[in-house]
Amino acid sequence: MPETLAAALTSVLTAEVMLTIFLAALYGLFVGSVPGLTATMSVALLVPITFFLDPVPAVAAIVTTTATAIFAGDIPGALLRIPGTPASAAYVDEAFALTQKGESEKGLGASLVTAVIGGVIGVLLLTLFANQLASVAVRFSSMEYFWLGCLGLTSAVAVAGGSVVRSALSLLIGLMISTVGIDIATGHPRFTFGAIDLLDGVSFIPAMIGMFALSQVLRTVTQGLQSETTVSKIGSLTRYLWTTVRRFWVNILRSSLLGNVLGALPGAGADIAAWIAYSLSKRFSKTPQKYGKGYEEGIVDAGSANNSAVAGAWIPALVFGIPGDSVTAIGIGVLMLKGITPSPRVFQTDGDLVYAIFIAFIIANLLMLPLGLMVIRLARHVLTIPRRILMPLILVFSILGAYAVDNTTFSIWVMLVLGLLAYFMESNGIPIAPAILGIVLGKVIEKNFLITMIKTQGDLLGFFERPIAAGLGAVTVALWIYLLLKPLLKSRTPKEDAKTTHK
Amino acid sequence: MKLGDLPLGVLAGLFGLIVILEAASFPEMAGMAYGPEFFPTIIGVGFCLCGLVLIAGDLRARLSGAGQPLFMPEAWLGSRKALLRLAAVLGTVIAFVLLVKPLGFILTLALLLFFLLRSLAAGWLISLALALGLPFLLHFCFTGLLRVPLPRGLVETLLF
Repeated sequence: MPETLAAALTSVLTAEVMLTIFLAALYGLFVGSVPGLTATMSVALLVPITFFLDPVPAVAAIVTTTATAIFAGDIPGALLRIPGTPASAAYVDEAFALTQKGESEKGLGASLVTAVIGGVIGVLLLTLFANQLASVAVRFSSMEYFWLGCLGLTSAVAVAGGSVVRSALSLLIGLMISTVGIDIATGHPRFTFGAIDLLDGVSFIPAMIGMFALSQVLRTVTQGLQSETTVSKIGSLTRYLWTTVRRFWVNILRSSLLGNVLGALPGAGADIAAWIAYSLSKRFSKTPQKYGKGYEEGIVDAGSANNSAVAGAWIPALVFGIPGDSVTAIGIGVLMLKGITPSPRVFQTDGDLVYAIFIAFIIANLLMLPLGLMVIRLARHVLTIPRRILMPLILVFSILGAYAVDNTTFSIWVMLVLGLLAYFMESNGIPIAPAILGIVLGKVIEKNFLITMIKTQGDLLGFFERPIAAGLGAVTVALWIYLLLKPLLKSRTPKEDAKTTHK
Repeated sequence: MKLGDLPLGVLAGLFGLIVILEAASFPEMAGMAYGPEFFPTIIGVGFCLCGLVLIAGDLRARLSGAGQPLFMPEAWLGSRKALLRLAAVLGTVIAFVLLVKPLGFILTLALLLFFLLRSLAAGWLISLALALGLPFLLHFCFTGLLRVPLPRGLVETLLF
């Protein structure tokens, strides 16, 4: 262990890695603070570049970009009442109310310091939980992996919020995409329409670029290119950093833990962690009447939860190869390309690499403090970059990114089709996140199902033979029953319904 | 465009049926109850079920007099400018695929970037500057630093 840590440290503390982290942090802060550009999109556009980096800087770039983008989403939220990323949506009104009172420094200071601390705590918890989980999970076989995959998909539908049917539809779309290509058991091509480029399946990175970047470009050019440009002046916020920590350290610790666990659930990412942390914060607060009128406590809780969730999402990603959110879905793809297969043994096989990622993650979060202060100072200029210039640039990077991954123009078609699909889905209230998990987990589930069937010679009860598999299976089936019954229970109690849908 | 629950449900159901039919044509695996058709069939059934739930919900709402329209066009569909901008974005993507091999990366990108920036009403000067500068910068980054070969054309042959 000490040798692994030492090896990890030496691989992080190089000029190449530090420079990568620095640039990725600036990139993440920029993208996150531009409304409409999400953390997932920034990572999807980054991937083609990470392909040509070494494993440690490649993953360091991804984790740095996410962590900084999630924080930077708070900046336009506080100043313009437009969340920069969905993860900031939960407390936009709160932060903007502070700005209207002329106290934007207070809100942004709380956002920044809780993001940094939440992020660091999140990484420490990630180290702890991933290690513990890995020691249990080494005994897992195809049956457990089958159930884990199913559990991941189910939780994606359960936590997505909104209509269960629409989340399920999104999931099915993702699963459908995952079946395209040569069947692993018989080698029969499925749903390829005779295209040779589809035999390997739908290329994942072009798909992600299409669904997150192209769809956003389409939405922006059709709905409005006018960006709001009135940004109030921001004073120094350094003195708010320390006072926030001193007043709310209990909230920061509590919500960091909560956010981390929520982030680890497949389908629940930083945005859901922020919503839940904010509502719990209000419920447990001594002064709930101040919420919504410009009070930092909610920002503190939600702000630490969403940055801790960023790290939490890597727990199932590293140990099981099951992504905790859309970003880690991309992250797993990058890890695999770098020859690191996520598995419970990853701490033994690639221990130095994994710890190097953790260290890079912590450095990124610490670096966020000075860089965050700088970006808040520059926010007036970043927020006024015209979209008519930004959108063509994003489109160019999308095209180039999709092309560079496989070096074929076919990937650009994939990007185009999936971008249009995602645009159609979002216009119809169908969330995107479940589809991403479907694409990633579809193959995992089918493969482990077929392996188990070969082992048990077609006996479906084999999925409940081993104790852990039986436990996971029981939880999954229970969740299915709950999801099926939920609409029925809801229609009996319309009053309850009205309360829960208001969010 | 936003569809009502009824057409969305019909769409999902029809898609599910097509998937099930297509899956039925897959060869079976010798001696195995579950082959390549198994998962696609489940997914197809899932689509059909979701479709039925959407249709049923829509019909129930209609019976109680709270039906939604079948088709809700978004406001921008009426704006010619928005439609032209959308066409410019989609056209850029398609044109890139078609032109990049014959024209080479730098020329294609320069032309398309200029076209797109102007279509979105960016200023002449900034459009020209980006269209002339960015392709070279990206070409340097990708072929020089990242070692991704980009399609070569007239400009590349003349300069490099």
